[in-house]
Amino acid sequence: MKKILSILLPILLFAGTICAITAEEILAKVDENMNAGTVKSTARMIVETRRATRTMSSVSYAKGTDTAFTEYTAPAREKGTKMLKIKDDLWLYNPSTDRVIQISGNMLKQSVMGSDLSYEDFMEEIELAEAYIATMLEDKIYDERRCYVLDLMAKTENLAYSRRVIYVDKERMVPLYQELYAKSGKKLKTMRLSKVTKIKGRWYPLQVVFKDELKSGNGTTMIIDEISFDIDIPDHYFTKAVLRK
Amino acid sequence: MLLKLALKRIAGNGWRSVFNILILFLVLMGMLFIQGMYDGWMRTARRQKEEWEIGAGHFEHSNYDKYDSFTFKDSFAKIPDHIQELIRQNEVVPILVFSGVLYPQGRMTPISIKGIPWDQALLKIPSQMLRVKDEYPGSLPTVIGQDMARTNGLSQGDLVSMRFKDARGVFNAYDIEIVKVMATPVSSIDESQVWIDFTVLNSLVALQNSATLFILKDEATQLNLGSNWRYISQKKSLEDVLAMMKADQAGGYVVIALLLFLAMIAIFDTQILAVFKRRKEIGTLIALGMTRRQIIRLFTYEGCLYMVFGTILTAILGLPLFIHLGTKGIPLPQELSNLNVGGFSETMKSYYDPLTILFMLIMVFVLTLFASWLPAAKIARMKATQALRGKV
Amino acid sequence: MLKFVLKGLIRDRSRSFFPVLIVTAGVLVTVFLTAFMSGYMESMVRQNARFDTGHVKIVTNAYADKISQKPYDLGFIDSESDFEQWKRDFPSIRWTPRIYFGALMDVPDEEGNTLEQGDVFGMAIDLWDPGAVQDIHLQEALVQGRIPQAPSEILISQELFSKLRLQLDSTVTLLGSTLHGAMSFQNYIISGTVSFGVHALDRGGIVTDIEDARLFLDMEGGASEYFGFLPDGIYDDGEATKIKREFNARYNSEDEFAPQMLALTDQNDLGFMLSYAGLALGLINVVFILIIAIVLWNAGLLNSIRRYGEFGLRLAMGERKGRLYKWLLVEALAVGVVGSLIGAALGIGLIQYFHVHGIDFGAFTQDTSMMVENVVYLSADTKNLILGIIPGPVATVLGAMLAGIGIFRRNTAKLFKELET
Repeated sequence: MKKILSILLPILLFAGTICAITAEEILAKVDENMNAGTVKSTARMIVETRRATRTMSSVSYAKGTDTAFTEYTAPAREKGTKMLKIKDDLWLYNPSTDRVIQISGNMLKQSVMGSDLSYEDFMEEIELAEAYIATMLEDKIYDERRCYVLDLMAKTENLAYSRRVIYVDKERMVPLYQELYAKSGKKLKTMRLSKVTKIKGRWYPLQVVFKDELKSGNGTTMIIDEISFDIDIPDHYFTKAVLRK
Repeated sequence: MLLKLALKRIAGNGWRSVFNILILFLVLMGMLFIQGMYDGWMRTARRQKEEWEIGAGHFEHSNYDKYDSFTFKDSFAKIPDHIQELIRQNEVVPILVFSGVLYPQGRMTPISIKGIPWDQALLKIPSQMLRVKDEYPGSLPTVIGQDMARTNGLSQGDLVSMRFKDARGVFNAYDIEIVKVMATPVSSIDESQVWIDFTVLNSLVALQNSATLFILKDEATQLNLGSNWRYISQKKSLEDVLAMMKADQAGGYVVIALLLFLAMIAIFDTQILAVFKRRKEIGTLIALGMTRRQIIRLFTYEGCLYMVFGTILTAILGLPLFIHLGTKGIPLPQELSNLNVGGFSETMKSYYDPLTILFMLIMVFVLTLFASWLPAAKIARMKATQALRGKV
Repeated sequence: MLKFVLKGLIRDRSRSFFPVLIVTAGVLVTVFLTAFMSGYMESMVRQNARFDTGHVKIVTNAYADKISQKPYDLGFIDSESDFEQWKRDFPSIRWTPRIYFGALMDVPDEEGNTLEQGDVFGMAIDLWDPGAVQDIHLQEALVQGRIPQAPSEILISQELFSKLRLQLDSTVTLLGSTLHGAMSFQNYIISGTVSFGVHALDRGGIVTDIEDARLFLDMEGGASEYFGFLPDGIYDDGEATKIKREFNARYNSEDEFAPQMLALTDQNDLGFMLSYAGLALGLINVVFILIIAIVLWNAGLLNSIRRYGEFGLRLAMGERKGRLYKWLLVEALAVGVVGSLIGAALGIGLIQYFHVHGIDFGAFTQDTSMMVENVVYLSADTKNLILGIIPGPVATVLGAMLAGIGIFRRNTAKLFKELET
């Protein structure tokens, strides 16, 4: 019996530590899962407006959370339009005009391609663990998966969203649902992540539905068709020179 | 002596004199009415601008451009201490301006959010309704203008979501309750704007006691706020409004000019016929030794006397009407205020500027003088003998 | 008798000249005034119709709901065949499409990077249709440069032009969103600058061709509003309302993008404003006609009084009082008609002059920018003319009638005596 106990104890202890995973640790794991050194992805964005449903395709390259480059490939009207984000600056390039245009001011508030996302939202890529203090709430079943529910409060007073609630798949450490709140506590946006697939050893949601909760409509769906992590992306992809290429 | 003669002849003219005086009376009434209405309108519009928006003058932050909402996030500063004191005395009203987005019926609509102290008494904005008693009420009490309500399909009691970024760039959002749709005649505090309490807005955007504008009760003569602030005098704020009215008044001037022309015709008409009719009389007067100048003066006096009587008649008959228009005014129908033209929202009261009235009287007087002098000057040139025979 | 009367009038200059002159002046004033008043009203209506409302306009139901925001994303697309149908259905109306939109104007430096940016408000009209160009007085509004002659040429407000330190024929980029909300870019060449005296347009307005706007906003074959102008370019509320009813009965439905027609008076409270202004102007007209009637009546009266002596003589010679009275009236009528005709002719001449040149109030409005047309164009229409002419003969004859009573009242001897004085 003692022998059995001595074998089991470490296991029990280990299990205990698993159970006692802290909110911070979960968040770190989520960040680790969701952010990579470099990411290349091919995606479709489905925008529903009052008149029609439109699908836009794009290829994106990202490095860390600071720099990202997107090129639209379809439909014909948007083909060749490029978007480059470096820290707090955002540039657009459009082949028909051959112009690089910096997006600033009121333009940042506008929706990207008619979606429920604004340019500001595009700028808003952060490491959650770095920006928020997490508290664990009661677990929930979401989308038939057991989830941790984390309440995130902004560490600093200059984050766009001062509070988030995030549901993290316990097994895969992938966020499945996120609510973004205003300082007042009013829910502004929600994200529903689904089609969680294992890619090169990490679980990743291939579909996201963004919804501006104040706006009418059904939100915007983003579907990732192809994604690869930590690949070699030449540095020039993240300079303004890439826009004109 | 000549004056007496002129008076006698006016009395003797009977019908003609009555008509002339009547016409002058109508012309004067018309002119005064039109001018009084314009001046009244202008004053009302100016007063409304003053009462609702600009006070006796205001300071704005040097980065502030009311037409460019992008400037709002950099165009505020802490209220200086000596202004704070003036605010307490209700001499100054601070206003904080931020940009935001309203979602009436779920459609994004860019707006300006303006904070005004609920206890201010300088501007007519019904700020008392903005008072927030609980620290975090379910919904924020706000006041909007009728135009804003109409364009966005909002009405009193409606709840609607409003989102904005605070001074640090953090999203904030509230359900606001329209506690009052104010019937303001001043569209520049109405269109695309939501009014909430000054302190509340300050706290919502993570500021303390900061303002974009200071509306003054009295003209700023010695106030010095430093280079952060720019003083906009009332006159400057009113430039656009006044110019628009002046353009409208141009139409009034044409009518006045035509009225004057009519008056001249009337006097001229009377005089010319009188001269014809009294050729012999004039001949006799000349023969009796009256100089030409005296003859001319006689006729001119006559014309002037018409004017004097016309003025007296206007004063007697017109005064009650003008006093009524000036104090009670003409009530304007509600629809007119929807047009959002300054001054077109309440009872239209005339205003009579003594100088303008004097100027008009002098103008009519001079013209009357001219119209009565012209025929007389002509007749006075004839020879006494011919005049006696009645030939011209 | 008439011939004799006329002879008398022509021969005795004092009998005809001044009375005719007075009637002429009086009629001239009334004719001019009525034309001015209606010109003033018309310029107000025209101004609104041209820039804002049309005489009638067709928009979608959804657009009509938010019309003050001019939401082009709720406008028409692929509506060309519908538009052709509407044109066939209402052939008397001149139709023209419009799109109003907002965008960001980006001015490049030599390397094509952003140098300056500014928000603009775009008004797209059919620049190849001379009627549409005339509608917004584009030629008159042009400050420098030329009206676009090729695709992708735009006009920009003089104010914005100087603010962004632009140059003629330089290229700028517009950045906006399409009808579907997608990003949209377009390069344009600035062919000229304009100043409309319309505040909203002069602050940051641009004028583009409708095809350019369709391309830019992805509204192929569409428009946000179709303006319709009644024949002769004069607004007739009854006619517009009739057309509106007809159109809406035929085409309007529950569908949110179904076409709906609005009349000018349905928009901007213009209906009310027009009837109110019409009332006020009508009142001024009445007062004027009243004054003129008094002046002319007075003239007629004086005319007759002056002739008492002559009448005394004629009575003494055995003419009957009735005949003399009739004589007087015929004479007055002749004076009234002749004076009115001359007055009306001069009035029409004057009106024609101002019809072409307009009365320029520019001096009063030099420093401002607002939606007030500075020039009032007069036009002579029959209704105004008749209204202006009527007081002429009527008041003159009325004056003569009243004065003539004296013929009956005074006895022959007294009238005869007046001849001597």
